[in-house]
Amino acid sequence: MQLNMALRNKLVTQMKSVQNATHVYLRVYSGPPPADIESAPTGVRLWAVEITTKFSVADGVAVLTGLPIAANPIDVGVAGYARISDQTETKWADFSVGLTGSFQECILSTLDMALGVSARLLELNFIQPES
Amino acid sequence: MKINTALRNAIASVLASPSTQGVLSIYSGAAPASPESAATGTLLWRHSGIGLIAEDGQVHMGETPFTANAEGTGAAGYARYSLTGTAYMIQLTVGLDGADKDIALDTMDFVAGEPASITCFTFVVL
Repeated sequence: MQLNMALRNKLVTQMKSVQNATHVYLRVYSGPPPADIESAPTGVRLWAVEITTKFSVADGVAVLTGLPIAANPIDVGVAGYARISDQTETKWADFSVGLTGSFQECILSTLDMALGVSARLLELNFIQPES
Repeated sequence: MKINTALRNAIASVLASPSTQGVLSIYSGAAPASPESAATGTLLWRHSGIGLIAEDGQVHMGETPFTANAEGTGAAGYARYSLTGTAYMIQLTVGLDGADKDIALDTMDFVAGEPASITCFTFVVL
């Protein structure tokens, strides 16, 4: 299956169906993501922010605007994955995390979360490949 | 990235809602390398008003098997589904039942004026 660019852009725009919720959160956890995406998050919740900005869409990629967002970690550990969800935790997506240049979906200023040391969300990309 | 079924269904609703329908076309030959390119090959089969359903994280054709007469003669190579009234289009693989393709057909050999059936049309977005 291959999708044309118009459809790819439209599909990633649908990410707003999460953003139409009253509150949207991005939370970073330690360890690997759950093998089953339908499962509750695993690991230690290390960092969390409410997302109040929108995605801009082009070339089949939705890019979160208004970055960076800084917040202090809520626990100590190494970031393993990130989950964006609405406030009712009905709809969610898990993202890989990494540092700048690592080509991950969620780019953080650090993977080593320490209490009292601010960490920043630098990039969050939601990608619909052609196939 | 992984997304849960509720979000996947919401995303797929672009293609699959009660108010959306599209045109399914089957062509001969190899598919163009890019879905941005014009269709190639001979148009073998085309039907409009085809609706899709999003459920369980998948998109599928609501009514299968779906039978209509072929418009051309030749061996099926690929298919395209275009959402009516939009620029949205998907290029799909075709094969016989059990061939692990996006669209399953009851025959790969189309003959103009003779019936051919879509037996399964299922794909996953994102």
